[in-house]
Amino acid sequence: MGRTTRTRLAVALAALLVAQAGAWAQEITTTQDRALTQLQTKLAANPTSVKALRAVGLKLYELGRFQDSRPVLEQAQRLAPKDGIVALYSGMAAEQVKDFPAAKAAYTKYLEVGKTKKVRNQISARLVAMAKEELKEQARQAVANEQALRGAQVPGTTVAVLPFRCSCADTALLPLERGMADLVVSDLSRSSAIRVLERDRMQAIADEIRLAQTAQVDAGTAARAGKLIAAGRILNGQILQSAGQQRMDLAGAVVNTNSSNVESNPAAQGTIDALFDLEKAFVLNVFQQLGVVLTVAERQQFETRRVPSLQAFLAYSRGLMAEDAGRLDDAVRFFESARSLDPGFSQALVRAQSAAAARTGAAVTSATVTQGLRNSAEGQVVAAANRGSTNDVTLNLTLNNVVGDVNPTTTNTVQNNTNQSGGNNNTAPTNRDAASEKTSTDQPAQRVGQLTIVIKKP
Amino acid sequence: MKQILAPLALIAAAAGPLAAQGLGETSVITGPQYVNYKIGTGTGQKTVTQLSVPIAFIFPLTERFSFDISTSYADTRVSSAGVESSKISGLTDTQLRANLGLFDNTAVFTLGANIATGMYKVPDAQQEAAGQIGSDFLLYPVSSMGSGNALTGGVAVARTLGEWNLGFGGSFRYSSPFDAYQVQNDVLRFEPGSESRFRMGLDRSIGDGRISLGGTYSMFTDDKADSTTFATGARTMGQAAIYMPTSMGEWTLTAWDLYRAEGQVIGSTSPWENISNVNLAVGFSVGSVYVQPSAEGRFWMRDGEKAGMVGSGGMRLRFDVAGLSVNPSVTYSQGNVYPAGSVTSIDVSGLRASLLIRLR
Repeated sequence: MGRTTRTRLAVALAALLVAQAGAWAQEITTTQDRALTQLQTKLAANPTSVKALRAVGLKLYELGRFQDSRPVLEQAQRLAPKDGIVALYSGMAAEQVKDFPAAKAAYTKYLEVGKTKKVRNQISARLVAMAKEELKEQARQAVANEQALRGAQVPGTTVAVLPFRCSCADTALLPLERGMADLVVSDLSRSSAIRVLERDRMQAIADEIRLAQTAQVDAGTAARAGKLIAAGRILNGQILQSAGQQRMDLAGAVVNTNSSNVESNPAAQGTIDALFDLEKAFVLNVFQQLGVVLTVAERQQFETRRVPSLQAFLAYSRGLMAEDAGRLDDAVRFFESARSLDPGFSQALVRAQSAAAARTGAAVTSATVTQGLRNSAEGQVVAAANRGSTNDVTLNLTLNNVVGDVNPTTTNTVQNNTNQSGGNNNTAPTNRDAASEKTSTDQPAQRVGQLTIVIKKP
Repeated sequence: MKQILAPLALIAAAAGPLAAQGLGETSVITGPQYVNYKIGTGTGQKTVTQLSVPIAFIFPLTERFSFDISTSYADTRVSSAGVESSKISGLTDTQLRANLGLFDNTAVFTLGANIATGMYKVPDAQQEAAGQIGSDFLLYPVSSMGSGNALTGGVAVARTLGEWNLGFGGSFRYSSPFDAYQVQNDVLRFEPGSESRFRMGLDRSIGDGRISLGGTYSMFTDDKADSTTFATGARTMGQAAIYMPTSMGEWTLTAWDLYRAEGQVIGSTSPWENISNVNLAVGFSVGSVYVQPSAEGRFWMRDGEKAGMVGSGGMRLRFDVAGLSVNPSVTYSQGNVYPAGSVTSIDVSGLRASLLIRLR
C-alpha cells in the first residue's frame, strides 16, 4: 500500500470517527432530553408529587441546569422535609450558584435526615470548606457593593482586628502577624460589651482588598476595611522588633470606620520570651481605650487563660498563614506540630481538625458525591431520575428480585453476573434440569462411561 | 495451558458485543464464562469444561412494560485421563419474557416462554456432557442444553412495611414433552411435570448497606420418561445477603441453602439432599483499579451423609480502558465429592474465569 493511500485511509478513518463521535454525542443529548421530558410530563400530570419534583430537580441538576433545578427541589423539600436526597441536591444546586447560606441550610438538613453515611461524612467536610469559600464570596460581594456602603453607619461596639504588621528583624517571627491577630481577637471576645468579628472573616476582606500588598495601612484604608466588614471600629496593629534585641513592642490604632479617624493608640512593651504577657497588656490597653470594663468573671477568665509555649504558638501562627494561603496540607502539618510541641494547646487541635476537614471538603465535588452514593438506596433514586424514572427504586429492586425468581431466565443470570457493583458469577441454582436429574447424569462423582437408560415401554 | 488460553481468547472475543449496550433504550448484555472442573485423580480423573456465552436483549418499551430475550451458546466437554469422552456444543433454549408493571409499578405480571432452540435427541456421545452440567453442587453457568417448550405465568407484588420492603410472588410453569436423549435407536421422550413456585423476599437499608432475605418453594407434578411416571422432590431455597460499605472496603456476605426433598430417578429413588453455600467478598480500590477478592464454601449433604465440599478463592477486578469498563474475574476451587453410597471421597478442583467489558 502506498504512502498516499495510507494517508487517505487515515484521513477517512479520522473523519469517520469524528462523525461517529458527533452522532454519539447527539444520541446522548437526545436521550437526556427525552428523560427530562418524560419526567416533566409526569410532574405536569401531578404537580405536587414529591417523586416527580425530586426526579425533575435531580435531572435538571445532572444536566447542569442548577438555577432551574433549585425551585423544583425547594418545592420538593417543602413537601418532604425528611427526604435526604432532595436536601442534598438542593444544597449542591445552591452551592453551584454560590448561594452559600441556602447551601449550608440544605446540607445541614441532609446531615440530619440523609441516609448514606459516606456522603454525610463528605458533606460535613464540605461544610467546613464551604465556610471559607463563603467568607471569600462575602468579601467579594462587599467590595462589589462598596458604593452602597458609603455613608452607612455601623455600630461602634462591633470591632474587627486587621492582620498585624510585623516589622521584625527576626523573620522567624513574621507568622506572628496572623497569630497575634488571632490571639487578640480571642481575648477581646471575652468581653460581652463588644462584638468582635472573627479573624477569618477579616482576613477574607484583607485578602480581597489586597491589604498585604499595601506598604502602610493608613486610617483611610483601615476604615474602608472596617466598612466592608461592617465593623464600627477597627484595630490596626503592629509588631516591632529590632535586630539582636529581645525587646518587642505592640502598637495599634483604633480607627472609627464611620469617621475614618484614629480614636486611640493602644500600645505595650515587653520581650519575646514574655510574648503572652505583652499581648495581655496590649489587650487590656485596648479595652481601656475602648472604654470597656470587664466584669469580675470576665477579668478572672482573662487572667487565668492558658497560654501555649512560644514555639508551639509560632507553629500555630505558621499554620494560620498556610491556611489563609489555601495551603491546607501545610496548615494541618503546622497545627499538628503546634499540638505536639504543646499537647495542652487545644486551639491547635481544633484548627488541625478544621483544616483537615477543609482539605477533605475541598475535594468533595458532584462527582465524588455521586460516587459516594453508589450502591446506596439514595444513589438508586438518583440513578432512576437520571434514567427518567420516578419509581421507588428500592421497591423496584425488591420486585425485580421476586420476578427474577418466580420466572427466572438467562437474563437474570447474566444481569447478576455482570452487576457493576461486583456481582457473583456463582449464584444459587434457580432451575432444575429435569432430564439430567432423572437420569442421574448430573452427579459429578459418576464414572465416565456410556449412559445406559433402561425404559420399559408398554 | 493451550486448552485454557484458547477458551479465554474466545471469552475476550465474545465480550465484544457489549459495545452495543446503551443503544437507544435497549440493553444488550453478555458475560462469557469459562469453567473447568477436575474430578478424581490419576487415570480415573474426569475433566468437565464448559465455555458459555450468554446473551440477553432487554427492551424496556415503557416504564411499565418490558420484555427480554435471552439464550446462550455453550460448549461442554468431558474427558477422562486427557482423552475426550463426550462433547456437546450449540445454542441452548431461548427464553422470552414480558413483564407488565401494575399499580404504580408495585406489582408485576410476568409471562415467559421457553422455546426449544437447544439441543435435543442428544446422541450417546454427547449425553455425559449434557448431563454433567445439571449438577446443583458444582454449578455450571449453563445447566441445561434443552428442556422443551414451556410457558410460565406469574405475579409479584412489593410493599413497604416500615423500614422493610416486602415482596412476594408466585408462578406456574407448564412444560410440554420433548425428546431428550437418543439411546441407540430409541428416543427418550421426556415430559417434565408442571412447577408451582412461591417466593417471598425482604430487604432494607442498614446504615449505608443493605440486607436482603428470601425464600423460594417449588413443587412439581410427576415427570414422565416415556410412559414411566416419577415423582420429583420439592425444592426449597433460602437466601440471605448483606452488603456493607466500610472504611475497610465494601463487604458482601451472601448465603444460600437449597433443600431438595426425596424423589425418584430412573431405576431408583433419589434421597433428599441439601446444598449450603456461603460467600464473603470485600471490594476496595487500589489506585484506579477496583479489587474484589472473595472466599466461598459449599457443602453438600445427601440423605444425611456428606456428599461433597468445595472451598473457593476468587478475585474480581474492575478498571477502565479507553472508555470501557473491564471486569475480569477468576476463581479457583478445591474440594471433594462422595459417590452415592460411598464413604471414600473423590477430589475435585476447579477453575472459573470470566471477562466482562461494558460501556461505563
